[in-house]
Order: sequence, then structure tokens, then C-alpha cells
Amino acid sequence: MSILPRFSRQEPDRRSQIRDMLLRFEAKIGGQLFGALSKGHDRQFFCLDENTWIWYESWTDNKGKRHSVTTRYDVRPNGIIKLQNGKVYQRLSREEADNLVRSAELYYNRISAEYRQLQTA
Amino acid sequence: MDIPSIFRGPEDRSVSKLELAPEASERLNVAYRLAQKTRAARDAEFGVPYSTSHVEATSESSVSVAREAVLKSLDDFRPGEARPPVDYGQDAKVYNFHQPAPQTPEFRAPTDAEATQLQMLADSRAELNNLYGEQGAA
Repeated sequence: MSILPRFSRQEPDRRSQIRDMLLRFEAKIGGQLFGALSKGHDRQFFCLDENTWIWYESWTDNKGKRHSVTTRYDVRPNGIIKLQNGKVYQRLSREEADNLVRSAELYYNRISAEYRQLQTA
Repeated sequence: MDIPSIFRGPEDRSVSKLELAPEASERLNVAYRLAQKTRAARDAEFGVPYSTSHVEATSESSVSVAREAVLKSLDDFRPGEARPPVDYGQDAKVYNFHQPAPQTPEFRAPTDAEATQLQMLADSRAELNNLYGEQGAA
């Protein structure tokens, strides 16, 4: 019996498991790009795929109620579309687009540095 | 630096560097392409911000250099795998890509008023040449 079918069945699971770990790792790093957060406040920012940025934020209000917002930025050839909590597509303002471009570069620089450190660990 | 706990699974399912390297390399490529696409989409919709184009282009260039360095270090964990040589010209291309497009002069015939003014300038220059010679008129 060939080992390849068994190997190829297992490989995608392992690869997707590693990919998920890397995504979580990047999301944590990405969330730190924009400064410190108060206790109970969680922020994640990461590259989901080569067309999508995700910004996730969750916090607890004064009454102890938990809130969360997921913002998805779809990068298209002629502009960037924002979708918050799955509702209403919006175009980005110039300022927000500029900020996203800078964040994207910062994100890339930070994860590059982190991955490089991983290799020397 | 230890491998962050996020890469440590239960028992023997922890991720090794050898497993991480190709996936990390792929993730870096994806993030790099997305960063470039984000900039291109912003420029396509709003145009290149002229006042910041130099600064942004420089940082983009440094991103490209960092990318090569990281990909190279990741490759050290796949010694048997060949990589194409680094294209050092890429930085220049990236740098130039985001510069404002050069302004092409608009060629047209001068208006009557412009033609008259040009002729007057030419006449006065010729007069000065006659009086003081080429150098004096310059």
C-alpha cells in the first residue's frame, strides 16, 4: 500500500492547523500596532488572505455588557470596501485609506521581524 | 527567544521550525502582496498623496529589502530548495512605481498674443546682442 494517499490526507489538516496558529500569532501582533489597550479590551488586526484585512475589537461597557465589532476591508483593484459586522458596505475615506496603507506596511514589517526571530529561536 | 506558546500544541503536536518555515514564508508572501494591493487600491481611488509619496515610497522600498532578508532566512531551513536570485532592481521599480506620473508638456501653437510677446523678447535680445555682444546679453 502506498504511503502517499495517507500522507496527502493528513497533510492539509496539519498545514491548516499551522496556518491557523500563524494567523492567531499575526492577529495578536497586529493588535499591538495601535498602542496599549485598557483591561478587558481586545484588539486583533491581521491579513486574512491576499485581498482581505480583518480588524476585530471587543470590550466591556460600564454596565458589564460585552461588545464586539469585526471590520473587514476588502481590497479591490479600484478601491477598498469596508464591511462592519457583516452589514452595509462602505467606501473608505481618503484618511482611512491612508491609515490602512500605513498599517499594512507596519504590519508587514512587524511580522517579518517576528518570523525572523522565530527562526533564530 | 523561545517559540511562542501559540505554536505549542498538546504533547507531541507542537510545531517545529521545519514545519513553520514554509508556512511562515507563504504567510509573509501573502501579507506582502496584500500590503502592495492596499496601496495600489488607495492610489487607484484617491491618487498618490504627492506630499508623502517620497516618504511612503522609501518605506515601501525598505519593506522590500526586509522581505528579501526574511525570505532568505526562512530558506536557510530548506537548504535543498532552490530560490531564484534576488532581483536587486526590484527596489528601484517599487520606488518608482509610486512616484507621481511625469507631467507631459502639452504641445500647441502659441496664441497671437504669445507670439507677439515672444517676438518682442527675441527683438530686444537681438538689440542687446548688438550693443553688448552675446555675453553681455546673457
